[in-house]
Order: sequence, then C-alpha cells, then structure tokens
Amino acid sequence: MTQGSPDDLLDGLVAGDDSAYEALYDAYGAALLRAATAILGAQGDAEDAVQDVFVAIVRAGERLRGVRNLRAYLFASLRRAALRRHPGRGPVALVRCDVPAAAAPTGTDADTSARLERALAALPRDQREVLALHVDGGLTFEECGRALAISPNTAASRYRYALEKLRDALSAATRE
Amino acid sequence: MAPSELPADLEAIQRLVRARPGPEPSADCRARVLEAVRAHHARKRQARVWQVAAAAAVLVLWLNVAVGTVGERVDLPSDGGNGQALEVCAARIQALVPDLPRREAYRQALVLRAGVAPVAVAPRRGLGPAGRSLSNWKEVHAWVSP
Repeated sequence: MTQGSPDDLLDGLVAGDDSAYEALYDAYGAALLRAATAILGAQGDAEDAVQDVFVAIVRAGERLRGVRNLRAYLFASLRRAALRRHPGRGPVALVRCDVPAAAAPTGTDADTSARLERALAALPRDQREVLALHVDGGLTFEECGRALAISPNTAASRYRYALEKLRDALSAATRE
Repeated sequence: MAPSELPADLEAIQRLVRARPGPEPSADCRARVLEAVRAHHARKRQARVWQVAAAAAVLVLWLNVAVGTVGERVDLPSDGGNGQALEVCAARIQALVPDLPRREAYRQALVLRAGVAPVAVAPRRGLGPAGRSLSNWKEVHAWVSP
C-alpha cells in the first residue's frame, strides 16, 4: 500500500494496515524520537514514549477519522505519553544512548553541542516541551498551545524564555 | 511569534537548537514499535471475536429461556379477583374430560390456579407437592387409568 497524503495514511491507520504504520514511523519516527528525547532526557524512555504513541493510535481506531492535522495529533499524543512516563516538572537527567557518528560535531562544535544538550536538559519541563514541539515537531505556537492546553501567547512566551535560558547557559559556559 | 520577531542572539540559539544532532534510534526501535502495533492489533481482533461470541451466547441463552418458558406455560383463565375464574377453569377441564367428576374438575382447577402443572391431563414430571398428592388419590386414578 502506498501512503500518498496524510488522509491516505489515516485511512490505512484506521484500517489497521501494517504498511500504514510503517509509513507513519518512517515519516515521523525520527522527529518524534528527537522531541521525546528533548522532553524526557533519557533515550530509552523516549523510545518507549514513541512506542506508546503508536499503540495509542491503534487504540484510537475509528476516532482517528476526526483528526485534521496528523502531525499535531502525533506530537500532542507524544507529550501525553512523555507526561505519563515522567510526570515530574523539573530538569531531566540527560541519558543519550548514541549520537550518530556522521552527525556528531567535532572539536569546538562538539563542546557547544554537549553544552547545548546539558542546557536543554536543565530547562524546566514546560519550556522544554514547547521547544521540542515547536523545533522538533514543527508545530506552530497555536498547535503547541492546543497540545499543552495553554494559550498560543503563553506557548510563545515559554519558547522565548527557553531560548533566553539556553543563551545564558551557553554564554556562561563560554566564559568559563 | 515568528522567527523574525526574535532578536538576533535568540535566533542564533534557535538555529543551534534546530541543527543539534538528533538521537540515533537503537537498532531494534523501529521493529519494536511496529511489533507492538501488530500485537495490539491482534489483541483488538481477539477482543472483538470474544465480544461477538459473548453476544451470541447471550442470544442463545435468551432464546433457550424464552422457548422453555413458552413451552411450559399453562393457559389459565385470569382470576380477575373473583371466584368466576375457577368456575370457568373447572368448566374447561370438564369440557376436555367429560367423564371427570365435577368435584375433581374443581380440584384440578384449584391445582392449576396454584401454578402447578395439571395432574391428570399432563405428564407427571414437574408436579408440585399438591399435584403429587392429588395424583395419588384413588378418585383420580379411577379416571386416569385406562
């Protein structure tokens, strides 16, 4: 089965077509994992959360027909799954299994990247969530707001605070 | 908030966040997720089969009870709160068995009205204590016996 548009994909998911789930994983799996890792810190937990999202889609069954924006639905579902796995609101312990050799920066870039990861993990959860949904999920602030049950303005403010904290953390690390 | 609304330093941070290397999924991540999906599909299908089976069992049970109830029902004239019903019942019994003494017809009508299967005109299984005692009477055997 070829999955052309999101509507075709949704039809396949509702019908329980295995190839639709494969196509969904290939299309969104990496982004979901990236966002989940940003929210949860530990990659093992992130993979479990991604699995929870897929299982939730199976459970949703016919209700999926009401989904208008599959991407927003997936990332909102991911946020709920992450919340179940790690209900805490504070920073997370950064546990990354692997960084792909090809993508891993070297030298100074590697330092910056490591500092950035640490700074991300140190952000409060609500800011980390907005950052993950907006940057990794590609959701607009309106969609972020719907997923987090907050106003778009609040989502935008949290995003800005997150960026400011990251900037400050990176600047402090550079001064050291 | 559009990216253009961000000051230059925050935009630079935003670019940095976007460009950070993503996590490499563990080797079996895709297979594990898809396997979980397949397992849930199988469980869902199994649950549906059980639901259909349970519904069918309830239907069969209901039919069984309904047919049994209809088969065992005794049509009696309704009481109506007066003694006329007994009169009518006895008359119907006598009409069915003309040589039955009138007194016995009344007795049978009383037994029937008590909710017990007819003693002499119905099979003996299912007789209550009153029916059994009636069937032991000589007078009854006199007209039941060939």
